[in-house]
Amino acid sequence: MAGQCVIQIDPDSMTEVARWIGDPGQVLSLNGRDGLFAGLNTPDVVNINTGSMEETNRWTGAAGEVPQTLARAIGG
Amino acid sequence: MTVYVGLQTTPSRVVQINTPAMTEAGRWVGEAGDIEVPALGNQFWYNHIVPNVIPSKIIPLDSLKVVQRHTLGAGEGEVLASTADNSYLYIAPNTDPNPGIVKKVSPLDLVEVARWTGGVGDGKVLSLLLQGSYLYAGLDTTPAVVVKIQLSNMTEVARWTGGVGDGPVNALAYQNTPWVFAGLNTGDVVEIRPSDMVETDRYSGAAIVLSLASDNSLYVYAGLSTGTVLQITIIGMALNFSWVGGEGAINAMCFSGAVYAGLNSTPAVVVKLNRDTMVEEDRWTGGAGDSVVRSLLLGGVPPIYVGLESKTVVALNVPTDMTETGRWTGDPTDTEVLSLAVRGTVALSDHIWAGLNFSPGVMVPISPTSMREAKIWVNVDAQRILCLLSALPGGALFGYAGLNTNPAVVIRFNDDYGALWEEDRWTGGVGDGPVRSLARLSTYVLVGLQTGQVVLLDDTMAEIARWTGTDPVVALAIPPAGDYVFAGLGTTPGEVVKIEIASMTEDSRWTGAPGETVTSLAYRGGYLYIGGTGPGAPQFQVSQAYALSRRNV
Repeated sequence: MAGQCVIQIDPDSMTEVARWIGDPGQVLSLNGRDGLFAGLNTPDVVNINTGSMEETNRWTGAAGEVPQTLARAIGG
Repeated sequence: MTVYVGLQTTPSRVVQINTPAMTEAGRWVGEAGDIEVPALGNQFWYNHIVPNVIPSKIIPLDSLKVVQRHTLGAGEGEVLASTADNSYLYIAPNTDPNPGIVKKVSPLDLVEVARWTGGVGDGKVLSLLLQGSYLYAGLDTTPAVVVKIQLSNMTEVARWTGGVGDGPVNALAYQNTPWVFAGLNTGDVVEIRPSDMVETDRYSGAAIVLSLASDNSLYVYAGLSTGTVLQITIIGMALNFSWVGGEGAINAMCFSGAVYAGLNSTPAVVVKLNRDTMVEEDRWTGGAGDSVVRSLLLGGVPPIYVGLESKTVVALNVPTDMTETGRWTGDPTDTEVLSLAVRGTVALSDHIWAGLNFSPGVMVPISPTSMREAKIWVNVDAQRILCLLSALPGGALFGYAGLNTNPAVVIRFNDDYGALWEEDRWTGGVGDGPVRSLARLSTYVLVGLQTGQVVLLDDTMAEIARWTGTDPVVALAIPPAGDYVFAGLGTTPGEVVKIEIASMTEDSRWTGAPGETVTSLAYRGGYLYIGGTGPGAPQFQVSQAYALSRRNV
């Protein structure tokens, strides 16, 4: 079964460097400003350490609260 | 640091999460009928969300609250007076024939948190004065009444009641000795000691007192129905000087180093009077269609705001030259601006509020910098917005919305501090399908289409180049150098195309393994990140080991 996945790519060679993979499912949204955050198809937003590509921590919403979109507050 | 999460729920929800703790800091819940949040943009002043409804809405959020014009409840007529402290707005609507009320409301959504209601015989509230922990309300009652209300719980703590022949209280002013001054419809200006609301002195006049201002020092100024402004000494309550205009009643006044008097004239006029000599020093005269000053607001210096009968609020540059620095004009169906209020000062507040002569009353939030109304923007094309891109710090204050239309449409809306309006748009050609993704590079915008194209638009929203593929462009990412754009394709397996922006030609591409798909892209710290689906857990173990090995090398 397919899994929730974030793949780190070298933009020069367009080859994979590392990846984070979670539970079965899908990553619906990403935000890379001031950190890397992945919104999953479960009620979770995962904070991923880009150095290790491991999960730092996560926010978990109530049942059914699927994070469709992510935006980082910038400026004021 | 904050990240906003648009939830795939009904009704729509946006959750504010503090990072790196990943704890929830607040949330916005949409109205019934708002479904999902398919687009969410960063924004310099606000954060915008787009519920997946038809017509789509772009909603400016301020601490996850919606700010838009507000209609008062049944029996709450024209907004006769309003004021505010740093935390709340206080609104006095016309309540005839019922006793007056003062509503204490949240400044963001105008939800009422408490109210004062007059007793039997108390007329509607004509004037409000906020000072310290108390609010003073002048009533449309004979004999005249001024009620002292404790702000914390909106309960009456004392009142002054005039004598026989003392008419309604049209205006109130304060002097920090301290005194409260009440301007009466029957011509007198009454000095009241606020501690116990006992009358201590009065100036007896003959003409209707419509407005008051205080220099917080030596004088209180009374604006009369005859078009005269009286300068009355606080010690002795005696007439010192006067300005005899005769051009129209003095409907409103405020003090900021000088006395500013708004006239009941067409065109509208605000006169600046020397605080000591009462000699006219300057004036602003409105243009064609600007009629009758109904309200004045000192929101910090500069400017002052002038509410007109002609459904307009004008910002004047005082005390320097009284030139107009901006204006808001209501819709054709709007009415005169009876009152103005600001939370704290303009410098501290997001909006000034204009109280209109509707019944029920209407409060309109206006950006003090752009002088535009803060409101929900509804896309006139009645199409679902699939993606949204907001302005960047230091860049122009624009946002871009990609529509679910054939041909593709991208709307540029201006989100200049509190307002949203369509400014320009790009419409694709035949065969250009819905907009699936947007990215911004300086003044350029890149548009990814469901039909496989990546289109480069310039700052006039004109197309200048495109890359043409065959598969849906579901995500875009641009590195800081701005030399390439990465386009994530909705193929199976997923692919990411690296496109040189200068030539809009393909440089190279990444193709996923079987079962891998692309839903989202992000660029950070020299790497491109692909979000989507990967192979199952057993394969992941191998991939991760490979990756770790590469890094160690």
